[in-house]
Amino acid sequence: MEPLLALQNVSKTFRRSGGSVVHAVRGVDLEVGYGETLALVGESGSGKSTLGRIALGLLKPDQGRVMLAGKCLNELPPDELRLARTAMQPIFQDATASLNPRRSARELMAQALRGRPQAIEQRAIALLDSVGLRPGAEYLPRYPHELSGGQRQRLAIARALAVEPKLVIADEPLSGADVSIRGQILNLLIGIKEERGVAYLMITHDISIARAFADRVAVMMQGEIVETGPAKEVLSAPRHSYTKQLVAAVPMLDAPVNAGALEAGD
Amino acid sequence: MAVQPGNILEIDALSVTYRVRGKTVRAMNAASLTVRDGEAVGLVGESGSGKSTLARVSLGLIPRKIARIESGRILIAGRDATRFSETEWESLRGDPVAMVFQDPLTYLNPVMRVGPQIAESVRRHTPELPLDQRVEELLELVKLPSVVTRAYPHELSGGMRQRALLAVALGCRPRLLIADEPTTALDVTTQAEILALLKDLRRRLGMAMLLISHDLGIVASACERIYVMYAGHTIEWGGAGAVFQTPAHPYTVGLLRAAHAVRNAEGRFATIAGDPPNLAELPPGCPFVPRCSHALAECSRDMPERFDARSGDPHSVRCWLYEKPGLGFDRAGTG
Repeated sequence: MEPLLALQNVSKTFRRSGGSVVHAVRGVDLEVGYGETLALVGESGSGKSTLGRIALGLLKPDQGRVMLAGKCLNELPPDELRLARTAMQPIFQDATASLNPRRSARELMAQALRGRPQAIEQRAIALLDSVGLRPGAEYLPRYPHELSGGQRQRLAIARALAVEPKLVIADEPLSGADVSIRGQILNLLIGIKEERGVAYLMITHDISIARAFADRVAVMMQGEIVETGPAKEVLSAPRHSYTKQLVAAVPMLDAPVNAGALEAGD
Repeated sequence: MAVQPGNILEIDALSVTYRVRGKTVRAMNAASLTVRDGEAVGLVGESGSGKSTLARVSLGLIPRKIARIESGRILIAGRDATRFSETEWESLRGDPVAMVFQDPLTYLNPVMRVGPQIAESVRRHTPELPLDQRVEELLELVKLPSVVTRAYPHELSGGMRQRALLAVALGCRPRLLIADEPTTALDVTTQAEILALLKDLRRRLGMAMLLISHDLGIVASACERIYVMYAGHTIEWGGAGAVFQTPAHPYTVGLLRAAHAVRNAEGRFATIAGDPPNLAELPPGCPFVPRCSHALAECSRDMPERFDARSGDPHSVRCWLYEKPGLGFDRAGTG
């Protein structure tokens, strides 16, 4: 079966103001299957966000093709491209920046649900409920600044789901979230995957999250993918020297021995 | 000057409020913390826990226009600094207490080369030492090549900037270095280098450190004693091993389970239910009550002073579950 998303030999270079050239992405091949969770890990400057933006069609690659469900996005005329791209939705690190501050949750959801046959208000409420903003009706009149950081990220996720995407591309969706909120967002993403079978391309610098959350992982360094494979295997017993270095640099925390004795607020 | 070892920093039941848009935000609520000479203390908490306010108030850096110390005391090397004026605080900054921050670019002068910035701190704090030699020494300490002296801060990488800021701080010869999220903006490999450097510096200089982070792994790897803050309260403290292996407060237990990033049998991550507290509307008693599944009637009335967490080590917790010896969690009907 063809993959849901396939990046084929994709390259992108940027020219700096001084005239020097940065090879952000060099000849990358990457696939995400239907319903699969792929973590793309790497440090800043590795090119992982550039690759994510290319996949989303926000950046044009200098070379290579972006295939979504068998269609080559680089070759589609603009209106078909817009339609094809709705199968793919982004979630960004900073929900505050990706949500228009002057729009209420109702307006933000209505915008995403535009042109759908069902009653928009009901659908919006159902979506807000499903991301844990319950009861959804109470959240409709609220503006982004009236929500906590975790709630804003939930609203961003609800909006991304409104168009029923097959693939969600999440660029560091947890970076701004506190540890106690992180699990809530991850569990929400896991639940959505179980219910709707969406695939995730999660771009992250967090090795321990990638290991636990993803089916497969691709490790990126200086524009290239240096290692790929099952997330648990690669990030527990890395082969490439860079992955080894990356994994070793993470300060590890053992599970508390009395964790079972006291179940905090389940 | 030889200094008798003692407590370089003592925060004693300190409460700090901010006036923000007509509301009173309670950033610190009778929080206590002690750093002894030479020891590495970690302070962990999530956003809004009050950890950065604690760091700033320890150097007199809270904005006087909106912030107020309501009660409690700050002692720096035994001197009560609670009511110090700006001039008096100025005499304590750098020596005996210096600080480095998450974003060195904000604290380094952007239009001044790095060398003169380090020299400035040397000239002010140790004018008796040969300047160039001392700057060289400081660069060597933070493992920066001497060419860096001619660079401007923006020309350096994130890790190098943090080293440069450290060199400025160390030029003051502090007895205590407060590091507020010093590696948060850095990549993991750079973060590991800076952490190794901090440990090495402590060993070589015998300086005390207060390391503040939201990242439990970082604090666990670098500190001997740990304090946990929640909603402006210090809720648990003790040896790093005791706090991390046998956490006592339900919040600390939940936080450590969540930080461990492992999925349970149902494929879910551990979480702490509910939302972080609103510091403008804190309930009476323990601020964790709305999220705690073990809360007792007394938890909503007030917060206990401290109980022994009974992990076999010096380890304290502010939680009613530990009121009577031998009861612990059983009292709440679990474990």
